[in-house]
Amino acid sequence: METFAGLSGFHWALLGAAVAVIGGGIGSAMGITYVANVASGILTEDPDKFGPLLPVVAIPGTQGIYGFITGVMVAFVMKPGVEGGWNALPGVCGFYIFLACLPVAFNCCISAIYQGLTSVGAAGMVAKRREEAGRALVLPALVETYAVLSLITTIILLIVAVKPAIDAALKA
Amino acid sequence: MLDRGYSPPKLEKGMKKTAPGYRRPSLRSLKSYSEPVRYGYAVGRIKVLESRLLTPHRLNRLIEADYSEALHILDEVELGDYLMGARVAGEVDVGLIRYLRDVYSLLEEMLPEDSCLVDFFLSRYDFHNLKVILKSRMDGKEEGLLPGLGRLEVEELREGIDEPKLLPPAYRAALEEIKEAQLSPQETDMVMDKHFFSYRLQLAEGEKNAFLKEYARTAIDFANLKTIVRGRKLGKGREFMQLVLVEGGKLGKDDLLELYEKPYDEMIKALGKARYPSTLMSFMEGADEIVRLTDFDRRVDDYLMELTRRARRISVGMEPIFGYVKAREVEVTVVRIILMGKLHNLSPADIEKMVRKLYVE
Repeated sequence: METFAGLSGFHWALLGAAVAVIGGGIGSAMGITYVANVASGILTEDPDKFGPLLPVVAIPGTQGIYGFITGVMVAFVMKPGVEGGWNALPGVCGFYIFLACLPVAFNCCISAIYQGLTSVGAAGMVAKRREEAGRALVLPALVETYAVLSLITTIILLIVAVKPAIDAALKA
Repeated sequence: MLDRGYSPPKLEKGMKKTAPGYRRPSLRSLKSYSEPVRYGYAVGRIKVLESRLLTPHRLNRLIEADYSEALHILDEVELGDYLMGARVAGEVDVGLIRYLRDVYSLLEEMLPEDSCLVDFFLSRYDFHNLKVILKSRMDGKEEGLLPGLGRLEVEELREGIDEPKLLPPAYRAALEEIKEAQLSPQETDMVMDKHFFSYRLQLAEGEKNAFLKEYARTAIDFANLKTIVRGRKLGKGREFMQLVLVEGGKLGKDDLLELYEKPYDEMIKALGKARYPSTLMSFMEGADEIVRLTDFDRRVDDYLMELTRRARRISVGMEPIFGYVKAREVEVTVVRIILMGKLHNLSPADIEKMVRKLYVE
């Protein structure tokens, strides 16, 4: 089996998927913890604010989903459609998959943490003025932009760049 | 395995095997990430409670109203429940103390156990009560005790004065200094204040919070300035000032001692240039000392409130909680001034001159 830097293509692909899921998951868990702490304080004083607070608390969770989507894409879309399956994947092609997963892994981790911190401010707005819930959600949603862009980049890299490279390598 | 000539340190009896400090990751060193976890819950509650604070609009109505109308206006906020039916100054004070007690209990309930903020606020009452008890043993009068507000009960403090081992180290140090030097009631007052301010600075440094440190140091500066004015009035010498001035402020103790011996004009000029606005320094001039010091207290409170307000832009951390408790304390001060003014038939204009800045703009 052809390896790259000591790892097979399958190993590199697994590593890429794992890093994407771990990065997104850590970021989301931290982000949600920050805002959920504040939200629990607000709800102690004013339980009626559960509805408007829920989207603000949930929004840092999306990065974890992006990491999961990346992991699923690697598992189902990037699997070589030739005899031998993953074992046929050359080491260098697996490395390409790993590189393509990095935007989601890093960007989703960092952006979810900062989105959690931004959501804390937004939750404060909701606590004071319930009618501001819509506007409050826009501010952390701006941080989301960069997580979405990283997911789009990872998907484009996997489908447009890595997949054809794998097909070409397997044909050769 | 390669022998690199490294031998692990030998652990003596009682020593724990831990990583060196630089290898031990501390969540508190990552402050911006740990603050939402430590203070998030409390900040959430504060955000809701802040909307129930006394507003400047309501304050103006209070100033203009007569006494019974003022009580009706206070019914619109939480304070009203505590002042219901209060007719004389004593009843107003009892209601306000009950209210403050509830504010501090709430603070204690929502903060993490290792936070120093409760001590930062409550130690003031302990030092005050210690002062009252000590002075009462000197002159036989026990006036102005504030029971139930401090960290320790009055009885515990009484026992602590006889048996200092029962008290926390900072309180003990103050008592020991006073006992050793055999001070007069007035000097006891000043030395106790010195220990209180030092203790608060120590708490702020332990918490490693820049805002809290800034607040504690600024409060020390103002306390020192007030001490200087009182000291000059009483004709005290440099040695006495050495004993009562607090260290740790932004204005160095040595610089202050040097200025103490200089003429008034020179001192005011130097202090005005040093750090604080000259309007604050103007309290040193003028005829009536009591009026000047009362006015100075008001300006200091306003200055510290301005400092607290500036920290409001921090969305989560100790600062908004500190701001809320400070807001409640100022609320109590302001309502007391207004109600006492009404009971003594002062005009709204006179009351307005004494009123402090509120946290809410």
